[in-house]
Amino acid sequence: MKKLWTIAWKELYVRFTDRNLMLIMIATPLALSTIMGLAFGGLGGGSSPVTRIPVLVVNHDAGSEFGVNYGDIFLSILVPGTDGAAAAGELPACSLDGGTKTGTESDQFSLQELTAAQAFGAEQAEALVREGSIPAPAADPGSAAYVDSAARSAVERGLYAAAIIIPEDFSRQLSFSPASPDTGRTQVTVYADPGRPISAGIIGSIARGITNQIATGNIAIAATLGELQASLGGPAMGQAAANIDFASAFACAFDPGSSTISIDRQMVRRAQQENRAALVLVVVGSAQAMFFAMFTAQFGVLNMHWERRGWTLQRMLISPTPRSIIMGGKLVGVFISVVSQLVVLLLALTLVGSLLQGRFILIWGDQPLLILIAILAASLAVSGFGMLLAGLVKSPEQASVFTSALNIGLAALGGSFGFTLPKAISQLSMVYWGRTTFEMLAVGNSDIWVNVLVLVLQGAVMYAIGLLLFNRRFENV
Amino acid sequence: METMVEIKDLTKTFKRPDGTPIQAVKGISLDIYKGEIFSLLGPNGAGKTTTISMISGLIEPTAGDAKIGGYSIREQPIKAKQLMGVIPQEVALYPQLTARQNLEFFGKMYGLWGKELNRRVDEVLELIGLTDRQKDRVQTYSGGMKRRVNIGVGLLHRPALVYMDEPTVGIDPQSRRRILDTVLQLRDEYGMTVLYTTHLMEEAQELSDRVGIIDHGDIIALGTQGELIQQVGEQDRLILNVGRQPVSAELLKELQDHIEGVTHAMYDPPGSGENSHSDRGLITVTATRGRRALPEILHRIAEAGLEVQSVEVREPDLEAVFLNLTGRALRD
Ligand SMILES: Nc1ncnc2c1ncn2[C@@H]1O[C@H](COP(=O)(O)OP(=O)(O)OP(=O)(O)O)[C@@H](O)[C@H]1O
Ligand SMILES: [Mg+2]
Repeated sequence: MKKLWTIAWKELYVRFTDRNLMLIMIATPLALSTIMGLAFGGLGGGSSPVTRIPVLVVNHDAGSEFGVNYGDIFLSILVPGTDGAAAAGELPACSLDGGTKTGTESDQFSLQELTAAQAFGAEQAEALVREGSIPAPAADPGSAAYVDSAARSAVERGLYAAAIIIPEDFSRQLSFSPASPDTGRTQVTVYADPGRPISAGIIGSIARGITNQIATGNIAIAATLGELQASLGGPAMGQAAANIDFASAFACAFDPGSSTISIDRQMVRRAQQENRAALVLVVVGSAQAMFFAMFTAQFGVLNMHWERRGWTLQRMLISPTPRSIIMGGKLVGVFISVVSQLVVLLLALTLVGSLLQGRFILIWGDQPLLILIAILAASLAVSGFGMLLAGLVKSPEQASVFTSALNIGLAALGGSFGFTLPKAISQLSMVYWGRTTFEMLAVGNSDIWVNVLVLVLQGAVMYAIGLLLFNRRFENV
Repeated sequence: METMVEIKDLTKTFKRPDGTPIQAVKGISLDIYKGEIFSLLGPNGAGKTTTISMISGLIEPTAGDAKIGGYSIREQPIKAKQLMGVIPQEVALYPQLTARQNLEFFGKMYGLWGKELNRRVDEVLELIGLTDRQKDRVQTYSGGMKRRVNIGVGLLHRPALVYMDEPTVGIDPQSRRRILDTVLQLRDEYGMTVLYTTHLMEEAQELSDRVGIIDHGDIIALGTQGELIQQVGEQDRLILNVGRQPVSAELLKELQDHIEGVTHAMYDPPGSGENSHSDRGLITVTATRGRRALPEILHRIAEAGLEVQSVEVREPDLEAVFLNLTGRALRD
């Protein structure tokens, strides 16, 4: 065992004292992520890499007894131009098309930039089924269950990043009623594509934000109405509530220039600002980290070919050291190299994110144990891949011919280069699984176990096959 | 005489990429005695490295076995390996590490740790004369210095037996001299047993107590130098330099067939093989009592219209043994 650690340590020492290698392993991905972070997230201007998230909004809201339909308002905030019952088509001037934004506020997201929302009803559901994009739901066509199920399938198929389902009792529960001054509980459901955790996270927080604003808006209104009631008395208040222009009130809540409901607006703005640079760093950084980790792992394992060429491998083999210890030491060394690389990269990106933000933030989320598990799983997967390659190639030259191409291909598949492919294709790449694990943790989603399992299984299988091939090929060293 | 290495019917058959077999070592058997320098002498591709690889446990023999100090390399490889130090033909070092780091790393592979390791490393650095350069990375060393470190690594654990595979290839005469002296020192001062491979007759001649001549995977002669040379009898070698003049095959045949005492005649054109002199064409004639045949040889060459520029007469040596056995020069 002492010998195994000696070999692993030598591996690490040689790796981490090589300045060129450090440049490739750490500095390059860090610089790339930072540049992209600056370009897209940090110093204003530019567009976010996460823009126009395709999202469906299903509105089942039946309205309240006062004729107010918060569901329609919700919908019209996300999908401008929808017939909000209260707004009767036209949104106020402070709507979300970005037109009222001024130069100083250009570093803000507008919902318009961020999402490409679409109202989704029975008609759209049937259209999707007709064109064969989704399977026909089991429920009756036209029923709420049918539409919900269709929306869910559309997300599962990767057609949309998320679907927001507004329930039938949404307005009823939120409406202030003199009989029960507390607003009720209601549930907005968000179906999200776990393959696009950032988008899903954004949609989730948008849905939560809008719902909160409607709810808090109602509390404010309730207070006002309470005063009205006290001063006026009588049943006029129901009528009064119905006359308030909710659409413009809530729409303006998202406009920086508006001061209608200032507290809520502040909240939403701050949340998005906070996320902006960090989000870019997370999206770009996790993909880059996976991409460069593959190189580190391959470089490390393929190094066995070079050691064979340079006879240092033979020199170890003729010492009284079992072959399994030698291979084990090398592989442990490679694994620790990759883990260290990922740890350093994640820490450095946290630092960059904090600098861009002007204060310390944990861009990878606040679950260190899960982050560590994600790092270990990702390292296992990429080193397994390295081992497989080392077993497949005859010589290091042969390897260098196609590993770069292979890595770039896998990274592109996995979404490292800014464009996303259909999920079913992306999932072939371990970069996808690694990247999405880190993104999930970054947005506070701790349900990473499927990803971890996939990474660990991929790693283990590739390790086994690679070792078998390698040993068979080099029986005679 | 106590036996250190006992090689029995050792065979290695490789597969070429196209699947055809190539017999690199063809069932050789020999013993190496404790405390001797044994040379394995043979031309390129004779099977020297393959033999060493098998008896050091690096590659599995196709057939046969070797016992090192009584331990079978196939059955008890770890015990056997502990007894031997191997100095590979290639410089097998980590260029990014210093000489000391290299020595320490491989020392640990031989189970040396702590103070003991430090002492041995210091000793070896002293022996190879690199104490003052120990903190420099090996990649900054000259070829000769790398070779010395390469040797040092094999001696760290004070093995009773050392394999040296062509340790002097491609280095300057001064470093070669140093290495040959070290080999003799290992036997004389440390009582080590040395298996030394080379394709240079002079080295085998200077170093060895006994010699095995290997060719095409076979041991074709084995014994002390005296015994081997006796096999050739009174054969002298006459080496005639004819410069850049062309030499015909008819002339060689005439020399070989029509002069009494001549057993063999061959020609090395300028710049061929080990004959690196670009302006020296050499006719080598092997003859019993060569001095007596010389006038006749010179006469025939003159008749062929060639002018002999210089003549050298060599007493029987290992080169002659090889020539006698194979009809080829070692340097081919
Ligand atoms: N791994 C291998 N696969 C196939 N053939 C091999 C392999 N190793 C050696 N050979 C062949 O076996 C023969 C003996 O090679 P070996 O290296 O033992 O010769 P050598 O005596 O050490 O020569 P040199 O003086 O050039 O080092 C050669 O023909 C060589 O091509
Ligand atoms: Mg050799």
